Amino acid sequence: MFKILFLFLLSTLFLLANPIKFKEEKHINALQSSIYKNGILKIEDDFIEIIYKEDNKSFIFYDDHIILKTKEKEEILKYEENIELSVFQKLIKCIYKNQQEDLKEYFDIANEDKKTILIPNEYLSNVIQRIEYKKIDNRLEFLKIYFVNEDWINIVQIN
Amino acid sequence: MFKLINYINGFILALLVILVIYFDSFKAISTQLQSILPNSEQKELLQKFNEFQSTKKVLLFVNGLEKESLEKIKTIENELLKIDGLKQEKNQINKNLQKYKEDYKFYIEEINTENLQNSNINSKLQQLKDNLLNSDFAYFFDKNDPLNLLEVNEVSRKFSLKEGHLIIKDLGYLSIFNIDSSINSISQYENLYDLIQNKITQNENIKLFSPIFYFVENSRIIKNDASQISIIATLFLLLLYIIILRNIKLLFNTIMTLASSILLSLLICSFIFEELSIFVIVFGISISTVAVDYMFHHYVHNHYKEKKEFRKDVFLGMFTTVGAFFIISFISFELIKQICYFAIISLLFSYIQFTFLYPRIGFIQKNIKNISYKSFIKISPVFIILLSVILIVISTKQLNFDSNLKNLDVENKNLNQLEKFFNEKLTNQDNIPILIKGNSIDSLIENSKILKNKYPDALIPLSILVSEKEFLEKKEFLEKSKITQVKSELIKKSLDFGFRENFFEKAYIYNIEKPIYSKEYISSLGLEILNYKDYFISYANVPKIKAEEFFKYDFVENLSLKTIFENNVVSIEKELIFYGFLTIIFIISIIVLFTKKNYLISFSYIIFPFSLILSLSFFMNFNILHLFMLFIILSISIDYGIYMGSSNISQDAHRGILYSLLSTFAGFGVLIFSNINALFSLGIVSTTGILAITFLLLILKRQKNDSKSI
Repeated sequence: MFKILFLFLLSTLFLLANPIKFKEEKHINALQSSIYKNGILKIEDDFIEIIYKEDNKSFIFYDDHIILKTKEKEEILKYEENIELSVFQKLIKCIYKNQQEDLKEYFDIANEDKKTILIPNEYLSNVIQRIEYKKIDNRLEFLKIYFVNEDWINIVQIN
Repeated sequence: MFKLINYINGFILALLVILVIYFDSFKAISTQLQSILPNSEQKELLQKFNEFQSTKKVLLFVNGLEKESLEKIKTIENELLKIDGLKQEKNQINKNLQKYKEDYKFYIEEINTENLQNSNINSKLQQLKDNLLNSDFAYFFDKNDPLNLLEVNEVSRKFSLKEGHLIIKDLGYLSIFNIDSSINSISQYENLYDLIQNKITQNENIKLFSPIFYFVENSRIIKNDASQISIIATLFLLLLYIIILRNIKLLFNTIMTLASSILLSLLICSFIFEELSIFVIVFGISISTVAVDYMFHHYVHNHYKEKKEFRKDVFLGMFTTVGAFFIISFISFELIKQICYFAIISLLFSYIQFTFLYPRIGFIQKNIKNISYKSFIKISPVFIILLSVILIVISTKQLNFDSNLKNLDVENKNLNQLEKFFNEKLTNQDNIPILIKGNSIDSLIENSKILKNKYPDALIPLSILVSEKEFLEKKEFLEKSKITQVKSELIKKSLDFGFRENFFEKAYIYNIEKPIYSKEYISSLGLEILNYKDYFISYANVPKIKAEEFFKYDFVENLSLKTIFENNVVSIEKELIFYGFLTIIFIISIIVLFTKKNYLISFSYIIFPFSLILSLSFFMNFNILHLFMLFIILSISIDYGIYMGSSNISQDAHRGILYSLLSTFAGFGVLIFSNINALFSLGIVSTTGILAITFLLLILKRQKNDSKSI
């Protein structure tokens, strides 16, 4: 019994400690075109880091603040002033750390065809129309954010 | 042997108790400061203002932005939401208002004519495209105004969101609760207040405030203080009567008479006045003790044992006091009117009982304790009058009038601090509420706009709407402007920058029907207006430092108690002087007519207390209650003037006066121990007056046939 538990914990730690590679497609409705980016997601105990190599840009999400690193500068951002980053961090936590509770403040959560659907509350509904994601075991199949201006972002794990 | 007359006082009291309970007279007693304001349009508007939902909020703040603070505020929220009548205000944006703002965007916002004339569409489109491509998430812009031709006023807010919860930036978590609109009465407020306080223990990190807390807390502070004072006065009086009278039968009857006089006054006044200030009740209880004089004088002169002549001096004392109250009652000031009516009824009732009923009941005079004193100095009344005149002249120069009614109220430091905290943290300035009036909804909107244009810092909810006149003017301006031409160019050029066809089709549409407002429509937009008489009212919060400028507009009503009170005092200033003067003439006439050659002695009893009370102006500002009490003390001291001015003054008269003074102090003087400025003001004046009369008893040169000791 202990062996199974030990193996499970070890595999989870291994999975979370390993960087997750993903591909992001951002569709811009106004221009009817998409932009593609590759990124790396690192999940540590006390922070989450997202790195966009092509842009030389990374976000490090700590519990009480965010650090935005670019080629030129390093900036500390507040969660309360960057709602979209705050929501994004919670989405990642929810997906990879199974912390769904935190999302309930922002969304009504429903499950449909193995997908999880998040319908935003009144406040976020001015920006986000809905969010869908599908996770098999600990792997993210896709995470799609639909914005009210008909733009959308689709993130797919590639490793 | 059973004699009905012995129990008549008890029957009268029982009957009055039944009547007071039956008509629920206590219901008329109000602890609110407004109840002492004269009935006026401003007072009604002040009451109307309290109907606005904006005044019915409960604010909860938990210090710190850590997880623990969030958990703490959520726990408290859950507890508070269990209370009926409390609903949490979510960060909901009123959809109807949002739509209205979108539809009438070009009528609400100003168009930057310079941008419109020189709009560089190419550079704007390039900038838009760059932002869309380079944003980390989605890029949002106003599709109605992609070229930013409108001047949108950004309001700097102190609120924000963290973890999906409202916060005060860099400070802590905030929750706003709405109190159900059906909760309007003081008893409902009290119930809600108790339920809330039972759920929460406030400390430095947890703050809770609602404007309704003032109603409950101040009312309770006043009630507690008033009860304490009444208990002290009653005990003091009981002790005094037991020591002096040593006649249990008389003591019980006197207490019954006083209680009956208070109940009768309350009963009649509750029919006359819609609201009776609690100050009137406390004052009324005190004034009822003045009537004990009538009993003392009859009793010490053995009127309750033997059949004697009618006591003219007692009648004259009563007549002067009641007469003075009667004259003053013509002043159109609610509190003064209420007190005068209460006093007249109470004094007349007691006088009738003490003069006509008590001799019939019959009381045997017990061995009354003798109090001996020798007058060690004899000062002539002329000297006293001269000294008084000098004091009056000096004091009048020193006299400052404090017209701030709030200074009569309870100083609730704790709530004041909490209110200040939320005021400072939620808005960028110290605001005060005002009312805006209009003959129609449209004129109400126009008036709101006038203020908003002049004072952009003011928070005027209705100013967001477009009046009919403004709509027509803007429409004409838009039709003449080159906005349609700019739109065609935008659509054409956007294709060159790779924008989707027809993407800007919905931009710059301003052709819309003029808005038609109704009370229901305004309410659906989440805004508040109320009907008052023939017009409509709404509210605004304006910067305190500019308040005076606002009040120059005739459609703005000031809600400050201080101003309402000042206006009333100004309006009754002439009356106050006229009736005050009339009272003094009345008192002097009585002295001259009835004390004949001893009028100087009697006059000393009027002018000396008057001058000593006025000299209080060296130590404090005078308020309306000081002035009022001054006239009352004059009307009471005339009693002593009459007794002392009588040519056949006896040892009994001295004794009567001394007991009366002690009794008056027990009734009125104890008010000096009150923590409420209103009652303290009455107490300090009466105590000074009583001390002045006592002083005169000791030092004033007396009549030849006056006994030197009692």
